[in-house]
Amino acid sequence: MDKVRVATVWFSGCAGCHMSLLDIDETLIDLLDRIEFHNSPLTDLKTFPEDGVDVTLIEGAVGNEEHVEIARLARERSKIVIALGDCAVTGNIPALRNGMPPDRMIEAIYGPEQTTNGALPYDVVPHLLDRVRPLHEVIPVDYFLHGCPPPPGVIAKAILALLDGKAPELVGDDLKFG
Amino acid sequence: MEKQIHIEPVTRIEGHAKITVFLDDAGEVRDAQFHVTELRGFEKFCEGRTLWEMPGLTARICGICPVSHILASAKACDAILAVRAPESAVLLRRLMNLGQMVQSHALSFYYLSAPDFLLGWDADPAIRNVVGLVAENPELARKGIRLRAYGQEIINRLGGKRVHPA
Repeated sequence: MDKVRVATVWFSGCAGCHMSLLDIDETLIDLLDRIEFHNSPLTDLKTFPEDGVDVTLIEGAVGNEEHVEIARLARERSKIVIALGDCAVTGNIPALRNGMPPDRMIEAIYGPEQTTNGALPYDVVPHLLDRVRPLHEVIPVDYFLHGCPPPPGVIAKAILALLDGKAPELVGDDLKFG
Repeated sequence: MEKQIHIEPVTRIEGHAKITVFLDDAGEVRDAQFHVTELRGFEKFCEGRTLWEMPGLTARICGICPVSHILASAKACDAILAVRAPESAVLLRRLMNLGQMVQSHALSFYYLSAPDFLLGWDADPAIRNVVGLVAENPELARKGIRLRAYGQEIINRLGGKRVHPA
């Protein structure tokens, strides 16, 4: 049987959801008989394969223009997209900057008074969006895993259900935020 | 002709980045730049918020080292309130920090760096990762996973969660 192809992406988040994925510990080794990882911050594959993947887990809120592009590509090349954790689901803590003009915020953090050259490298670094958005405002999302981060058991439960061709049944404590 | 080499995104690191290497006409490296592409704005949006929110809020700077941010923030809050944490609290904080050091080093070595050292710099990028490590040396990979789990479990026992303990 072909392995299920999984990609993972991180946007405006803290890597905590990816850590929670790793917190399934040795279950990861068992899963490797059935899944293979493609592009991910944990691998050296930089982008989605042309022929796509089965599942993409996206951590973090959508905070800059590059995130929007990658989210759209993820949607185009994935059968199933999962919003992994509260930042992807609601915007969460990165969305605390909403209401603050991004240019003023960047000036205050990286402007001439704060850095040695005061140059903002926009030829390389993506522009921030005016407002941090949850993933579902940018692309359609198939499943939402709540939590900051989602508990490893919930992540494992969702992955195992999908491997069996079923929709993850998330109930009770599985749905807790925070 | 001057040439640029882009590494984008930089993977198997703790954060978001790109690298640009500038080559001169002779193909020698003239300059190299490391670009941090992520900005969330903690520096600004924490301003004006209440003291009590800070440890929980600043933990979210990093899900790999949340304990560092929680403890630094807690110490700053202690100083602002002019209180001294009791000896047992200081020891518990220190223990949690040690738990983090164990898990973070295990992550850094086994999950992120070891594929370069054990599979080789020139190994196929498709397998040069922790999954490739499991295939190549399952016993070592299992030890690495267990070491990280041990550190995470210390944090969990003391703070109720492995990532972002309270």
